[in-house]
Amino acid sequence: MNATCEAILMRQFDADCEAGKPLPDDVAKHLSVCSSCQSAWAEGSQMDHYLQSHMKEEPGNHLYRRSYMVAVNEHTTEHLNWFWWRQSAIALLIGLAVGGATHIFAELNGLNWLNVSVFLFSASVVFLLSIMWHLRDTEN
Amino acid sequence: MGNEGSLWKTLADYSASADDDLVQRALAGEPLARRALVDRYLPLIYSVCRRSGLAKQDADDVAQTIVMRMFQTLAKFRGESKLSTWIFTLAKRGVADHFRHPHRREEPVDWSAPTQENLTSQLEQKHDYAAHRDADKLTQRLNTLDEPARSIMLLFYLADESVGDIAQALNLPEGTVKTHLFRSRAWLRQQLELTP
Repeated sequence: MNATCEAILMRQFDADCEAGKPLPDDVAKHLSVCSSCQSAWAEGSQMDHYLQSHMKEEPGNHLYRRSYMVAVNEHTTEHLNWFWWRQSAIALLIGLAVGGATHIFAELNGLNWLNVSVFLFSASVVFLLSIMWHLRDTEN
Repeated sequence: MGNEGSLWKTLADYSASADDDLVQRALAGEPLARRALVDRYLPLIYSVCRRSGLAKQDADDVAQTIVMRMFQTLAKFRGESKLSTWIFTLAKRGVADHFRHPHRREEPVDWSAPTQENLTSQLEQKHDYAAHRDADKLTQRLNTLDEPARSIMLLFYLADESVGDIAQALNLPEGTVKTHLFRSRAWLRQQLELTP
């Protein structure tokens, strides 16, 4: 097989030589005068058809169903990261607000221990509530 | 009435959408866009698993893990390559991970007291054997190909990528991709004894 024949046969992988389409003029011209290329082209087409039909395998319906569930429930890593940062920031802000209010109350009444414990308690409660809220959203 | 301005999109509308549009909508959390992505790319993921030599049950599990990873990392898809190429790479990596960590759940069957599940599984295997004999032979031969020839064959015949896309994805000249395709196809033909 000479270089011209090989170059022509390699054209079989180009989009303009796909099965069902009319062959480009230069390819058609070469195949009409070169019998070895003509048979090699036909064998190649036959093999292409075989590979295209045997390589692909359709998954079962159960796998589609399982994948749909994954698709709906799975969130991107960035989305999850954003969720955790947002909830943490909200918890912190509410904790600070409650802590500030408690601080004024504690200062006025001389109860300094109250500040830290109320801050931690309020932040934890808000954080847990936000997680529960998110889980309810996801299930819906 | 066109669907462009329609508020409610159906699954068919999503199925007709371009990959980039689907990705953006899936990232925004639209369930139908996510489902359309599964419909479009699960066959590719599953076929990569099967053509890598995984048994049906393992292929199901690995394919599902890959789908999960796809949605977890979808935001990392920048559109520099085709989505199918990106998913193909993800699938190949998923299969490689599976082989690297031998957590396969195939357990020895006690045939003196087989369970109903064992019997059903064996019947299914017998039934499938004839249908998949050719494909199994093809899988065996494909797995003896060296890289990048194997990936090129899978990308071309399985993912329906063009020579240009494969060359770009694997960072190879188009001529090299064609040479690999040409030689691998001829070798497979010889190995599968398809010569008339």
